[in-house]
Amino acid sequence: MIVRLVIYLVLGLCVCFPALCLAQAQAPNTIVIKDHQFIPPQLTIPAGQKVQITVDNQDPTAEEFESFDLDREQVVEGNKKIIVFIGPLKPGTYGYWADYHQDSKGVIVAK
Amino acid sequence: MAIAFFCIVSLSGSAFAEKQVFAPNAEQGEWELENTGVYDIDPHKDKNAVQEYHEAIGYGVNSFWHTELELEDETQPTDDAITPFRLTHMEWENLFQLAPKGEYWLDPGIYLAYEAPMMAKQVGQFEGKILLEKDFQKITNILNISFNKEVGGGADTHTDGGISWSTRYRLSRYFEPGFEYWNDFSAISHQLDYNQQSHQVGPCMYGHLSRHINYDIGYLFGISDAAPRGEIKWVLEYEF
Repeated sequence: MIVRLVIYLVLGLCVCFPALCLAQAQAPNTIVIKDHQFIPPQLTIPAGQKVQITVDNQDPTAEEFESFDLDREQVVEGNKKIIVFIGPLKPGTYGYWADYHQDSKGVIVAK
Repeated sequence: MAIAFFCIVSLSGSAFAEKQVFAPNAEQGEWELENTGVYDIDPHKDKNAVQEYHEAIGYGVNSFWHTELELEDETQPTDDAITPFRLTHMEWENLFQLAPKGEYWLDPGIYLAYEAPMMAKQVGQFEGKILLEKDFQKITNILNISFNKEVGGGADTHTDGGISWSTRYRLSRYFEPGFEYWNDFSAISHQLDYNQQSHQVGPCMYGHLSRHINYDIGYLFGISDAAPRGEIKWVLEYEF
C-alpha cells in the first residue's frame, strides 16, 4: 500500500510534467557578495528571457538572497555559490536585498 | 440522505492533514514555528464548531529538504455538546523541492508525511502530495495533489485523494490577496458524486506581518453538501 502511494506520486509527476523542459541557459551573470555588499549593486539583464544568475558569496558567513519583486528567497552558504533562475521579466527595475544584512540592497534592471 | 453522505466522508477520513497549500520551496537553515487551524461553521450540529489545530516546529535541512514535527489537536461536536480538545496525532512532515525555483516551466516538489495516532482506537496514516507552482509575473499559482492512506489495525483499505489550489496576487510583501479551492474526493476508488465530495472555495490573504512572521488567512465557502457551510482557516509562521 505504501508502494502504491509512491507509484501514485511518481505517476502523477509523469502526467503533470510533460511540459517541463530545461531552461535555455543564458550566459551566466554573477552577483558577488563581499563584506555583506552586493557587487555590482545593479545588474542589467535582457527582458523577456529566462536568465541564470550566479550569486557568489565570498564572505565566510551565510547570506540570503531575497526579492519580493522576483519572488526569490535562497540561502547562500559562506564561500559558496548558488544559481538563481529568474524571468522572463517585463522591462523594469526589480529590487533585492540580503535578508541577514537588510541594509545591503541591489537592483536587477531588465531591458 | 445528506447525513449518509457526511458519514461516508467522515468515516473514510480526510485527504488533508492540514489546511495549507504547500509551495515547493525549502529554505536552508531556516527554523519555523507554525500554528495552523480551522474552525467550521454549519447549521447542522454535527458539522458545526469542528476545530482542528496544528502546532509545529520545522527546519530547512538543506536547499531541497524541509522537515517538520507537528502536533494535532481537535474538538468535535457530539449530540450533547462539543468534545474537549484532545491531542489526536503527531506528524512528521517532509517537503522536498525537486528543482531550483524558476528553472523549469513548473516548480515541482514532493511532500511526504506520517501521522502517528496519539489516542486509542485511532490509526496512523501516510500522506503524499505532488506540489506544483507557476508564477505569471505577479500572480502565483500553486497546486497540491494529495493522496492519503491509513495504516495499522482497523485502517481503512481505501486511498483517499484530494486537490488544493491557491492563486495569489503579489501586491506587496505585507498583503497578497487571493483565493483557494479545496476538493477532498475521499476514497479514490468510490468515485463519489459531486455532493458527496467536499468542495470549498473562498478568499484568502497572505503576507508578512513583520520580517519574521508570515500569515495565511482565509474563509472557505462550502459548495457541496459534504463540505461545511463555511470554514475559517489560518496559518501563522514565525521564522528565525
